[in-house]
Amino acid sequence: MNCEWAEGYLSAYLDDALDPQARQDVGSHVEQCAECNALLEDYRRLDHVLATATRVAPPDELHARIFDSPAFAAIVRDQQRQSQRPARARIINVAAHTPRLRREGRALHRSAQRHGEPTMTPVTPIGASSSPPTIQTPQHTRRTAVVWAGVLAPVAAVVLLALGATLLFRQGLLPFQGTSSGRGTTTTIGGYNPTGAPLAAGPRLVFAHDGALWSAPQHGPAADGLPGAAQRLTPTSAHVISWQAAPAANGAHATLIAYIDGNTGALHLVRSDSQDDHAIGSVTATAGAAFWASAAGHATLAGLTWSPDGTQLAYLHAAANGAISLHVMHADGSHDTVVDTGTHGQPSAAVWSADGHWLAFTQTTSAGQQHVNAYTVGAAPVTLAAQADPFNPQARVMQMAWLSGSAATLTWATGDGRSLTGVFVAAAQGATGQSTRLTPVPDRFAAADFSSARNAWLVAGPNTLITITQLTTQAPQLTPVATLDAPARLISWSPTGQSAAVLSGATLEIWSPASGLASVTRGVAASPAPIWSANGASLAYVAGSTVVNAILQQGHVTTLETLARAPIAYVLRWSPDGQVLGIAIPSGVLLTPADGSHIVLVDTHAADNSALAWSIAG
Amino acid sequence: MNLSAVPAVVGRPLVGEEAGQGPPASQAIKGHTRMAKVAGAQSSEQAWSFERIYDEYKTPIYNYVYHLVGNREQADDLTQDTFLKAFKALPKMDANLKLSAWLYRIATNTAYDALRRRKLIAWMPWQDLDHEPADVESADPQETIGTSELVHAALRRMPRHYRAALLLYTQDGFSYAEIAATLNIAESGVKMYLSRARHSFREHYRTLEQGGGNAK
Repeated sequence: MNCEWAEGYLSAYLDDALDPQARQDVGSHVEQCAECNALLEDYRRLDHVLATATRVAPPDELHARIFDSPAFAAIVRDQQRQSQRPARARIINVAAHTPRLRREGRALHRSAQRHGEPTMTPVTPIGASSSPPTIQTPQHTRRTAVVWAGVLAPVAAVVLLALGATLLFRQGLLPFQGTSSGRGTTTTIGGYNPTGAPLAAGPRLVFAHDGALWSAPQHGPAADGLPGAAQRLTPTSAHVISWQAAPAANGAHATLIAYIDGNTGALHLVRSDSQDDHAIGSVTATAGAAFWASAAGHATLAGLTWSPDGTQLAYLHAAANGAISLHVMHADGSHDTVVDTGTHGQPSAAVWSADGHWLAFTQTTSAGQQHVNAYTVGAAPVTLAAQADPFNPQARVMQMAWLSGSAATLTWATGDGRSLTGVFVAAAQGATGQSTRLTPVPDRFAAADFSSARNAWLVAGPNTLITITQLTTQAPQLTPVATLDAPARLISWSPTGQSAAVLSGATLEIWSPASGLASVTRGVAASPAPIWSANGASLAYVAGSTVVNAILQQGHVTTLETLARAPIAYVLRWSPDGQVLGIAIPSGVLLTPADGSHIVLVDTHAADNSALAWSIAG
Repeated sequence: MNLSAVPAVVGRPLVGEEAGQGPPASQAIKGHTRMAKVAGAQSSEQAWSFERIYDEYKTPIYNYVYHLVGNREQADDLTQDTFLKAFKALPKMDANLKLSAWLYRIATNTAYDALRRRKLIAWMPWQDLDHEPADVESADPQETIGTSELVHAALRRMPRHYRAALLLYTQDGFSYAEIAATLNIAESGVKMYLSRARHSFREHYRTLEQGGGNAK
């Protein structure tokens, strides 16, 4: 036994969490080794320091913020309603593939059908009580048969998550209670297939759990075309600790997923449809617990960035001395190139241009100065700004995007951790290191988003929405376009730039240049963030405990569809065609079509970090 | 607020405690292994409301969330979200729910989601906000100068998953099984998390202790 070995066990030794033999071995070593003994004592001392440290208490006003909130009032109303709520639902648990689990699924279905007609949801369309012409609940907009199906959706999740909870928890299917025994069941069809036999092509939802990557087809093998169960992509020898799927934009095939193997530090590619796993490089030669726990390890884990067309990959490599370098390579692992980042500090925050020709990144010096740079293959990087916000040395780039349709022009917004401090623009060609500031120096903003489709920013001041347009001209235009009733918490342009979602307090508003600001729903959560479909026709969000799809035409919300009732949803992701929504919940991963007709449970394990992405295999 | 409208939750004593003589409301949820059972709106001596859950857990949950996100304003928002999510879901949960671990799990996921969203909204796939100066408040009137300040500063410099495990173990008294449940990892992984967490915390704490870093 040596110190290196013993050090790895000192923490568990301190907690009395070792088996008797290991405990004896470590104990013997500690008695003889002054260094390890000192380390153990230090751990003990620091445990005490932590245990006795002053706790940070919440402000008194937090009580009122919770108990006087509309959201809390809605909870109370909802729970009063639920005490009389009948339930009927179509339950599809494709993750339950053993005979026993299938029986359970049928039992759930039968259980649900025994109940009477469901009632509708607690979603509160603004003005719904007076039957507004433009916002209708599903029963007003769908034919009878479809209405029934649409109405089933909320109840399906109720059954899954409420009525079914006990059954599934007891089967160990929904490990939300968190006992370790609950994690024994996995949801794979045939397990990992090292021969690389193809899985179903088409859109697949990708996520990770238990150190492996999984993907579930939007259209499964069954004749009904419903989503299929998640299938494992990565071998047992790999431990996936970070991954990025190539963007599935514009319906093009984007089959590859890049991931980092925590066991080796190797950079791998795997297809989302064939389990064809291979290493293409490395992010560190010193993979191990200490490295991944270090700042350099943390940076490399967050360093994978695909170009929008999925043909190039940028990543960060940590040398043995901790120095971080920026690399770009082709998606087949060839043309691995180190970007010469000079002496301006650690690179981070990369954003590819739409055509993949340019890569913007920031560098932060040890003194805290943040540069904004641009790189194109075959040339040295150029500095677009020697300081992200020249008037605020503490400000950091918070959002960065290339303008579309113009020659290599980057725009970015800076923030200092409390609010946004400014919006800037600079051209990569002929760069002088001087950026153009688009907003007045003293002005601060609560939220902002840039639309590549419009080449325009939408920013929120204390209570005003402002557009910033004509960014590349000598006279950029700042135009107040609407007044907000409450401070903005989030702004999100639709991908088409036709409209933008604005969360003003807890009210979801849709703003469009043509028709201004219109309130949609109160009690909307900022987390998970509302998410647009790629065509901008659907906006999914969580209101109360309900996942809602707002369907838009010409920038107007025409219909609100209830997709699922999920007391807790972590993240929402539309499929590339906008037909199916992926939902990460504490007890697994759901897929539900945009019409809310059914809910498919594709995995009964929570996705690691609640991260979901779509890939288009083929 | 009309408390009578608030659904109540009834604390159930563990096996070994005398049934029917449950602990006082304020104690019923203290222990991590205490069980909660949802009942309809009712008034009994054992019943404790959302208000009481909040009173019992506000400081530990807030302290935990604050250390995860490193920002008071955001901790306010996330603590609010945590309790509202919990209140929504609680009446639907299984009778054997371990309230404390469940609350912390909601808090953990809410905080992680916020940190991740902060990165997504910022389009900054490479920015590790956990380690950014912007993540650190420059003036916090409630922070005391001294050990607590060093603790806070060292925690902020740690990877968040390890930070969460260390906080749950040392400050909240969680067992390995409860940490596994809260962080959604295998129980065997908790050993590794805590080992790396202690290593990381010690490294940063010692550096700060020796004046090698800016505690603010």
